[in-house]
Parts: sequence; structure tokens; C-alpha cells
Amino acid sequence: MIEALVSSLLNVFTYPTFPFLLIGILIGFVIGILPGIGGLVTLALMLPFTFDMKPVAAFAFLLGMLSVTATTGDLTSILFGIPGESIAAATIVDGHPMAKKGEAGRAMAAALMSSLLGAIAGAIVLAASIPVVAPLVLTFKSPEFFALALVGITFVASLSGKSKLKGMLSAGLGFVLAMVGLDPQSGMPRYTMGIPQLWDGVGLVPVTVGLFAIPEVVDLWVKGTSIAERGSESLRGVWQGVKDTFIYWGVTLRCSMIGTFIGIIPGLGAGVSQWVAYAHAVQSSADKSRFGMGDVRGVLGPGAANNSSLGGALIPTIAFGVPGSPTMAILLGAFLIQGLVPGPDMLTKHLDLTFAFVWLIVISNLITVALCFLFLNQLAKITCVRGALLIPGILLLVLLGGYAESNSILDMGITLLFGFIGLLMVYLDWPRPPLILGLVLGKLVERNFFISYQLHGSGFLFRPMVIVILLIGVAALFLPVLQAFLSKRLGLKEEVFVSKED
Amino acid sequence: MSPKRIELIVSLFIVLVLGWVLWEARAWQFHSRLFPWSVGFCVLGLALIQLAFSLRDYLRFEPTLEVGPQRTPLSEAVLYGQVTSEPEVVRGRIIVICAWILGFYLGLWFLGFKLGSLILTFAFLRFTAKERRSVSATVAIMSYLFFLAVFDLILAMPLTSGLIAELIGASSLESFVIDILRWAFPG
Repeated sequence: MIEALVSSLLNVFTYPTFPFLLIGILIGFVIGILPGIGGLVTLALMLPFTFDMKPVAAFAFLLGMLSVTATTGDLTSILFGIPGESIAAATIVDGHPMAKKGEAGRAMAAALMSSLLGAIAGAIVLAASIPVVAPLVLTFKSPEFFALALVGITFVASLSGKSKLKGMLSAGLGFVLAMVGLDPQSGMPRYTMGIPQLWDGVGLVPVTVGLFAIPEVVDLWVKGTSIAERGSESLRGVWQGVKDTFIYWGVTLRCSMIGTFIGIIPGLGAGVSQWVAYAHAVQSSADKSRFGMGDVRGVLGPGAANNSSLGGALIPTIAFGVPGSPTMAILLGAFLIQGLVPGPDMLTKHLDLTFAFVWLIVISNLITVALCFLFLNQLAKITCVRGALLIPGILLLVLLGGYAESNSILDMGITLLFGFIGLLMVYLDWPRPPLILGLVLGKLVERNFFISYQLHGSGFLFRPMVIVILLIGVAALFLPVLQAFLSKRLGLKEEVFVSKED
Repeated sequence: MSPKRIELIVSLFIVLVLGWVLWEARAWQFHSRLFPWSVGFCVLGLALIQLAFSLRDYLRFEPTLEVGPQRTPLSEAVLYGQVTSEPEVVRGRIIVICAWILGFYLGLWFLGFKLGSLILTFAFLRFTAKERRSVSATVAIMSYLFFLAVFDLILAMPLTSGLIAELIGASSLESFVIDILRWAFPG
């Protein structure tokens, strides 16, 4: 085992594997920073180039690219309030307000360090858990996935800020939005208003980009200043961001584990894990008042989770050939192109390659973070450029981001529509993250609900694992209420119930 | 219009939309209707509660707001203490930028991404942001080159050539203009 671990590390640094890894990182770096063009599309575009490569080189190219998109996507979220990747949307909630306060360097450093730690945590879990996780993943069927998605909804309360009712309603509207498109049961169009382009449903990227980015553009113009109102701080802020990762090590570590675990579960992935991690960061903090206004823990949580998800998502893909997400499904295509069959062979005959995946995730993130730190001050200075000069570029990227998901003008219109809805939500103080969570989870809940119902009838709700998961959800829902009640009743400070780092 | 009144209108609109969602599903098969109704009725319940709260707030606070100081339209901006302008000025700026956002959408739709990025960037910077002509032109050209190099040449994204180019049957507006120039100046 150790021998395979060492030889796979050496293998990564051979020619042509390492140059291909660097090319992959470079592509992933650019793709991550540019809004709208996701790792998924790029992975699909790059797949044909791997035909003539050897397996390790091919995966170095693909994984190098994939594993850095979330990291650099966080930077766009922080700097401009536009998610560079859909899996980096949660970073906006606190990252962009930090940039506005002139703490872009600190926020980016925190995002980078937490991303690195998250990626390493995910890679370690990938290396350690393949033999352990097999029975767990195989136990999970549609009823358990349904229950897990329901548990995800319980985090709405934490994402809702002051108004829980508005948050729940916002999540509910996300659920309704997720129903637009063809009915998975009968194939009948639902709520498409006769527009065939809506048969595939409402895309997550146009909604997310519109909801978060357009209000920022309006805000930037109304202020008439640069993104950073108070001027960007220097290297000190960057160093503070690095230190924050270790001061709040508990949040970083727990969110890494959340990301890894959610990544393992087919159908969820980084899109969900970032929000769950954010909600956890809020829930586990004594002082929740600063969240949404530029709390560094709101950056550390999603940053760690969206990166650790990749390691987690690779586990079922490698071990069972079960791709947990569309990205993993494309990566599975790379396995087939290379003549590899995921499954027990990957743990015996191709153990070298499996361990190479672990190293590739770690090394590509190390290189990316080192590269980013070199240019962090320059990147942070973008926030000091006059807002009027940035607005056309941001607007073009926002609309392109909406367009790019399915190359459709309609999607660009959806971006615009949700931009104005986002503006209205900001004006009326309605929380936006629950709507995204509802949209992400709505499809999962519906699909797994019907499969479960058809296979098991209503009895699926009484499966032992489902009951356990639902009880965890109920506990997560009522824990904050219980905390508040007990602290009032017993006269204890709320800090008693949260981790020491807070 | 005060925020309370807008919130009341929004809450009412949500109730109406949810009513339509439930009404639309009434004729579907049981399996197709089950999920939209399960979710729809729950969300409608929440929406009705929200409507009741909005109505209460409107009736309770509206008279004082009408005579009191107006709330700045962007709550985030107020939150961060960034807006110091008069509400009328802020409202005017919001209308301008919203018109531009719509203008960018229509511009990209009609002109395509490459030419659109050039023209729209220049127009915004020169006529709205009141930047100098040289600055506006430089930023616009950089924007055009960025779109051309990154999205068209390197990533080979199928960017729309624009509705106008489609209507006149040209591959793009740029090539159409070049063709006209070639025709006008054959040498």
C-alpha cells in the first residue's frame, strides 16, 4: 500500500504527466475565474484531447483542471459578487461584503487556504475510505437520498437571516421553480408556458448569476465608487486571511468533512455542500449577527466544502462506477476512454492510478494556491478600480454566464429576470440563498420521492436509515431553538453550546 | 412607493403565482400532480401567512412612513452605510443602471457578443459614466479583444452572432461590415 502511494507520487512528477497537470491547472484557473463557464462544460470539451494520452497523464490533465475551478471560482465570487462557478455561489454571501469593506485580500486568502485544506481533507478521505465506504454507499437507496435532501431543507432556517418565514417561502419558491420542465413521470411539460426551451427546466447558473450579480452591479453604480469603499488593505489582510483559517480551524475542518460526505452521496455534490457548509458555519457560531455582512467564517465554510467534495465524489465513481454528479459522469467517460473499469480493479490492479488521483488533487491545489498568493495583492487591487469602469465588463460576463450554460438567449433573459428579482429581494430584505437551495434540492427530492414511492410504497418512510436521517434533520432544525431556549432558561451564555474557536 | 406597499404587492403576486401553479396541475394525472400539489399547497400556506403579515405591516406602518423620511431603495447599501445621496438621486441612478442592464441584454441579443461588447462598453462609458473618449475607446477595444481571444478563439464557445446578422443572413455583423468595405473599396 505504502509502496503504491510513493510510486504514484513519483509518477505524477514524470513527463508528460506533470506538464499536462500544469496545462490542466492553467485551463481550470481561467475557467474558474470566468463566470458561467463551468468545470462540467470544460471537462466535456477537453475529454476528446485525452484519447492519445496515457491514463495518469489524462487524469492529471482532467483532474488538474477540475480540482482548481472551485478554488478560483471563489475569487470571482469575492471580488465581483458573481459566482465564478455555480459551486462557488455561497462564498458571495460573506466574501463580497468583505471585499466591499476593503478586506478582499483577507477574504481571498481565507478562501484559498480553506480550499487547500478542504481539498487535502477530501483527498485523504478518498485515500483512506475506499474499503470502508463501500457498504455505506451501497446501503443508500432512493429513500435515503430523499431523506438526505429533506435534511438539506432544514438548513434553510440558518440561511434565512432574521426573517425565517421569508426564508422558508423563498426556499419554497425555489422548489416550485425546480418543477419547471418535463415531468419526470409522464414526460409532460410543466409550467413551461409553451416555451420548448424550458423543457429542460430553469438552469441553476442563470438563476444564481442573476440573483446575486445584478444587484451588485446596481449597488456599484448607485455607490458611484469602487467595489472596496474603504480602499483595499495590503499584505497584512492576506496574512490575516491565512491566520483566520487556523483560528477557525474547527469550522474549516467540519465543513471539509461536510463537503466530503456530501460529495460521496450520489446526486448531491458541491452545489449542495457549499450551502450546507455555510449554514453549518452560521449555526455553529455564537455571534450570528455578522453573517451576510462580511464574516470570514462564511467564506471558510463554503471554500473548504466545495473543494473537499471532489475527493468525496471520486469515491463512488472509482470504487463502484457510480457517478454522483454530471461532472463525475463525464469523468467516468475518461475511464472508459482509457480502457479502465471502475470497481474492484481500481483497488487492486490499478491501485497506483487510484492513489495518483489523491496526489493530483493535492498537488494541483497546492500549485493553484501558491500561484494565487503570488498575485493576490494585484487581484485585490481590482476592487479599488473605479466602479464605472468595471460595470460594462461585469455586465458582459454576467450575461455571458447566463448564456453559456445552454447557449441560449432565453437563459440570458432568465439571468436578467432573476437579476431584477434579486434586486427586489435585496430591497425588501428577503434572503436569496434559500431560493437557490430550494432550486438545487427540489429536483433531487422529487426524483427520489417518486422512485422511492414506486419501489416501496409509503413504507419507504419507515426504513431504519431514513428514520435516522430524518431524526438528524429534526435535530438540526430544532437545535438553534433549543439552544436559545436553554440559554434563556438556564441563564447560560450561548457560547457554551458552540465550539471554543468562536 | 413605500417598501411596505411594495412588499404587500409582491406577497400578493406570489400568492397569485402559487394559485396558478396549483390550478395548472389540477388536470394532470395523479402521479404528475402529487408533487406539485404537495409542495404547492405548503408554499401557498406560507405565502398566505406572509401576505397577512405584509398587510398588517402596511396597515400599521404605512401612514407614518408616508410622512416620515423615505427609505433608501437599496437596503444593502444602507446596511453598509455606503449611500449618502438623496433618495431621489439614488432612485435616478437605479433607473439608469436598470435601463442599461436591459440595454446590454437587448444589445447582445441584436448585435452578438463580440460587436456588442465593443459598442455597449463604449456607449456606457462615454455617455453614461462620462469617461473620456480615449478611456472609453481603450476599455471597449480591450473588452472586444478579450471576448474575441478568450471566448471565441481559445474556448471556441458558440457565441451568438446576433439577431441582426441572422436576419441579413451574415455569419456575423463584423464579417458583413468587412464584406461591404471590400465591395466599396475593391483594391
